[in-house]
Amino acid sequence: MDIESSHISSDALTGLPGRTAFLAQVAALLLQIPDPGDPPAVLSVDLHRFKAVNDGLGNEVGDVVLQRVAKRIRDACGPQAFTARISGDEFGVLLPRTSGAKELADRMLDVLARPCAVRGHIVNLTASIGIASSTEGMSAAELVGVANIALHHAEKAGGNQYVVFELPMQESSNLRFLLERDLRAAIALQQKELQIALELDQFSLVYQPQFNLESRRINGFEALIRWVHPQRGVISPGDFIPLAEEIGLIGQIGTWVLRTACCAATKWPDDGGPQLLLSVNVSAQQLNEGPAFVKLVAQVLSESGLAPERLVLEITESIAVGDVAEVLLGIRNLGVQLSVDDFGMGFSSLSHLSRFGFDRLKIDQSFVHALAPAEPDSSTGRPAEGTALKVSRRAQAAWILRAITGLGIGLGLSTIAEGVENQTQENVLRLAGITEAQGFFYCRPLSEDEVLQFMAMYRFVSSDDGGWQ
Amino acid sequence: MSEQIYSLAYVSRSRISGTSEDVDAAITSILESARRNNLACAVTGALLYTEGWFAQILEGPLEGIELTFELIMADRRHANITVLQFHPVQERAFSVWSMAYSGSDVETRTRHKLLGIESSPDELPVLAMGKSFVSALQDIITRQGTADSHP
Repeated sequence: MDIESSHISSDALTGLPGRTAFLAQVAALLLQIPDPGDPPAVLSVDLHRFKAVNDGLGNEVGDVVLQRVAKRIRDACGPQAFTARISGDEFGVLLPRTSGAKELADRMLDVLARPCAVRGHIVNLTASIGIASSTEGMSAAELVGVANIALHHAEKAGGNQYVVFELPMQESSNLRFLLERDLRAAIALQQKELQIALELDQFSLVYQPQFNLESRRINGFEALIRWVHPQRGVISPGDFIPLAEEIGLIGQIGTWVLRTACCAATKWPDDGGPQLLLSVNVSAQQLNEGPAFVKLVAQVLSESGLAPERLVLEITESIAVGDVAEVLLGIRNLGVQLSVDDFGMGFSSLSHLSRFGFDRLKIDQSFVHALAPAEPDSSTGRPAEGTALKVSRRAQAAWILRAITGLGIGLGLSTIAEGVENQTQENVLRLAGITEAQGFFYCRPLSEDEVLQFMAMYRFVSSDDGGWQ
Repeated sequence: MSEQIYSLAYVSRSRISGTSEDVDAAITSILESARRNNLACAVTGALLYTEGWFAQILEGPLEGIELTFELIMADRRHANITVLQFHPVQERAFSVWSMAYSGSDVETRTRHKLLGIESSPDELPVLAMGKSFVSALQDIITRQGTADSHP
């Protein structure tokens, strides 16, 4: 389909030369600078959110996006420039002269921020660019390195912009100077730390109760991972899960979570009523393992003895639109339930939800937070800033909640809100028709032992009035 | 013909500057190349130009639409592109036009909808109005009857 893929010069996907060829070209040009008054420049171009495309829509779509991006870069650069694909979603441009580099960077930012239509999806990306001019005696690796430092500054400033390298940047980020080596070393170190954490039992699970808003009873618990680092203390999943995904350790961690949680759930009390559900988060990479993942779930269920219908796998909305239909079907065939996590933040469509046969929608907590009245600023006694904006956001969030509830009823799904912190939020949720809720308003996440204590207590107080409060 | 037809609609800000003759000339050239390209890849559709905004609907087989859209994305005569919709459709709405055009006397309500996009590109309402915009444009083109005339 794409002309690019017929050139197998170096990178078979984009047809662009790779990192080695790029460094060689920079080195050759530095030996014979055409115009010392206007020295060569390197532009480092990095895409934002590309990983989300791969995770959410699959590598096949990601590959086509990269081909389009490569072509857009090459077309924007013209024949004077040497363009290369440095790594996954990072590109390099070598210009024989620095003049015109900023204009080129602007052109590239413009075309890269334009939507891509790929296999029926619209993909919106942005890029950041670092620009560096060569100076006397600079090696190719140094020139590329300082362009990367400038790129890092552009990204830190929010992205979708270019930054021209200046010396103070180098001084402020001396560690960054040995860029690639450092980065690799850091990843290796963290990989080791994560690995050690797995081996040394530094991970633990906590369980947050989920309540049914109608019956006012506990429906089940969501298993949440914690990493208790010997030096850094408790690290939240938001901080290490993305890293674990990046370095390919998420599979091992996910397996550990599933196994540990299923075993714990078998010890939860059974009072003859509806059995307590166990919700476990599943990452994109786990699903990408395909049939092997389905097999793992089946194996864990049979080892632990947990009834399949008590297990709910929570899948992030952005993954749920990808090419994972078969895996999801396999999981459903085991009798396990499926829940869409963070609903409202990704790009699900109704057709996907009904096709994959989800059982539950979990509403992203940002909507729930938007429902609460803004806390007045206690230091000044005045209402917090931007009250008008918050009111309209609140109205919008309530509107979205009603739409989601309607969607849930229409598709026969239950709906759960996470991150509920106060009565106001619960009132709105209940009015909107949300069926379940979890959050600090009800109960903090509990350790395995605390769950058993909590359940004993809960059964005692709720035995005659049918619910909490 | 059993191939699934898709429809893609977007709006964008024109970067064409100069006198109204310059603008007309640029749009004529855009339409000519669009019609040439679209015939080749079985894409039909409609283009609207009003007060510095383009709005375009492309319909046809997935591959044809995606390649055409990529060509349009390479065109620096416009910017601030917002895709309003991209999905399969039962049938083409503009089947007889390789690229219908509407450039003048566009009803105020359509214009206002376009201007609404400028003020809030990321808001939900933009997506929500995608459908009504397409049917509005379809109305205009159909009623105009002069759809294939040049500006």
